[in-house]
Amino acid sequence: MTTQRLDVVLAGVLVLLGAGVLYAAAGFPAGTEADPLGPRGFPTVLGVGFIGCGIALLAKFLLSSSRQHDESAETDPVDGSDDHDDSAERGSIERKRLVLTCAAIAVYVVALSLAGFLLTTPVFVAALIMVQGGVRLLAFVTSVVAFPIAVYLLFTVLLDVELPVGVFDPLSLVRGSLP
Amino acid sequence: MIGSLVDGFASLLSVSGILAMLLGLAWGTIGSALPGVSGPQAMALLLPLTFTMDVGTALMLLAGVWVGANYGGSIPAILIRTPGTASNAAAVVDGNALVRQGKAGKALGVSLVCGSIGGFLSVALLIALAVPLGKVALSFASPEIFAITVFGLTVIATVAGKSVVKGIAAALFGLLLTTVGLDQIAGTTRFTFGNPELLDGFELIAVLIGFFAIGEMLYQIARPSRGMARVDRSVTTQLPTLKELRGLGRSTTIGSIVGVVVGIAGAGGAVSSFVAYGEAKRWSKTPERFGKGSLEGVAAPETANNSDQGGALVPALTLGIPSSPSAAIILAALVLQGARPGPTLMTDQSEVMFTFFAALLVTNILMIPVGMAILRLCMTVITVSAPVLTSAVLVLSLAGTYALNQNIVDVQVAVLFGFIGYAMKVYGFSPAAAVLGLVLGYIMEGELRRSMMMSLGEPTIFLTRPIAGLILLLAVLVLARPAIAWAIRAVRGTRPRQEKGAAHK
Repeated sequence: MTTQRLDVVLAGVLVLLGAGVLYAAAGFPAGTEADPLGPRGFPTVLGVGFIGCGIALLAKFLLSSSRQHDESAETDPVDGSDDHDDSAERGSIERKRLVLTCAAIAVYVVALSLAGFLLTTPVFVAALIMVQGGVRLLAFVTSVVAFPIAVYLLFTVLLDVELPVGVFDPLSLVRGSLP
Repeated sequence: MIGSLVDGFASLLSVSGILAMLLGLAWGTIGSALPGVSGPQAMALLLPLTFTMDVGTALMLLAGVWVGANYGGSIPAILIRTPGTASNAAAVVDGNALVRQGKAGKALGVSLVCGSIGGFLSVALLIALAVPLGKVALSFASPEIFAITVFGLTVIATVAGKSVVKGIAAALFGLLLTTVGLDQIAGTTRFTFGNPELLDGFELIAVLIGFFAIGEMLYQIARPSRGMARVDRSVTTQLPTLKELRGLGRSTTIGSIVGVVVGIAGAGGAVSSFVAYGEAKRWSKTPERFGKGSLEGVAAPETANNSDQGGALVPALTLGIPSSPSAAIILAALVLQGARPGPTLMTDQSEVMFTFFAALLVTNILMIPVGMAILRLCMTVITVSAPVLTSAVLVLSLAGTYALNQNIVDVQVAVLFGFIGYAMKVYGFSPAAAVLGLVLGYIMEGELRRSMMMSLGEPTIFLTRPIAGLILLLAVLVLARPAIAWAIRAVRGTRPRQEKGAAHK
């Protein structure tokens, strides 16, 4: 999809968002004599603003596409099939990386409160590095093993801020051995 | 004012204060030298750690990061032609030309010293303007403050991205986020969808980390743009001699003036550094050397880049209008510490503000020895591979967000806005404009409603009060500027075709 065609979709999204905001705002109390705008006023202005932006984006597309149509009538068509193949392949790799990374983050956030920072973070870091690839073994091991421990110590010992402990609390072992 | 500043300097004299400034400088420099990590991101990552500090120490730390970040981005720009931020891009041409001539240390030294001079001068100007501007701002009522917030937002919306419409939409999105939770005047719940976790609205810092850190890292993971960088590790910083500094006086002065003016206007560091580069070349005795390794070509943009940041703080601290993402983060840190950004900041929090000003002056001086000392470390981090870096930043972002309130919901919010920030960046909507909307939204709605209360529901109050009307007119002109430019281009663009058509006939 070209950037300009994408803008038509984005214009639609903005109009829908604006309509949704207006619909929700209609349910808020209206203004009174003491508070003329009331809780409804500001979100209503924002809803109208989103719709205005959507319409402006659409208008810009229509104006530029009519101009391009005029210009393309004066120029010869160019075969860009090789470029198209390259960008399609690149787009597919980008999507794959993104989906895997987002999935890793989502799983990490859920697992964090269950299994704790120290158990989940090495797996998370390993997953992220493997998705991207191209890291030497020493850097991989350091990132997966030493880095999570360093961050844990930075927060819990130096800054005295708790991180999620989950079922495994390493400091409890230390605390248990203290008199 | 001088007494307040002396008190500010006195409050820096503690072990924790000095340590905070040094650590801030080191993190700001290293953080923004990291490929893909800009100054605002380096600041955002550190924000959760300031939560447990007292407000003075937190601001000293952030002053250090602020100043350090301006220099850090120049290191990869000069050494490997990869600017840490767009505002360091102007130094690439002459900086890297000097590297190829074996003068890398001198290029870094000029960047460091001239940047510090620019930063110091702009902070001095900020201090001189803060109190009088703060007094003027105190005379403003709700309509004027509302008009200023509209103006601030329109400036950012028009310069933050390629499309003005998308910039405005992003700013509106930021404003919309501030309406989530309990309404500030009537106490009505809005956009909570029955979720009690949303009653207090979104945690500002979590959203900020999501937009700036997580969104940016997702972008870099999806679209890796670089291989492993190679750096000559034997380079050491060579400070310019007094004779060289005298020779750079003209370009440093130009950089300082351009940086402050552009910074106050909110056009951003990239604009100020490129304008300063152009002006320095125009006024130089040796313009032919620009682009081939001119020290002036490094000094002017680097001075402008640093003084731009001081300029951006003028509207942020006197009026509560951040004109850059970094300034928005400073305001967010103040909110985190219980302060209320706005015209009353300089009077209600003057002690804290003067501590911050003193810290900015001192860190600009300390930047020179700290910058020299940690250059080697910076050269090491430049070569960190992208997968290791992005993973580390993501872990620090998520752990830092959790540390805010020890609440996993904050982490979920940061991740959600990380995804949204990524999508916004990909589709051309500026996350920075959304963040500024988020910082300004609460003030904007409150002052809008109070204005309408004052006028008993009559919207003409914004036109009948001259200052409010003038500021709103300026906002309209700022918004209309791209449309006017587009119309002029369209008219000019049609003429050749018409003439061509006429010639065919």
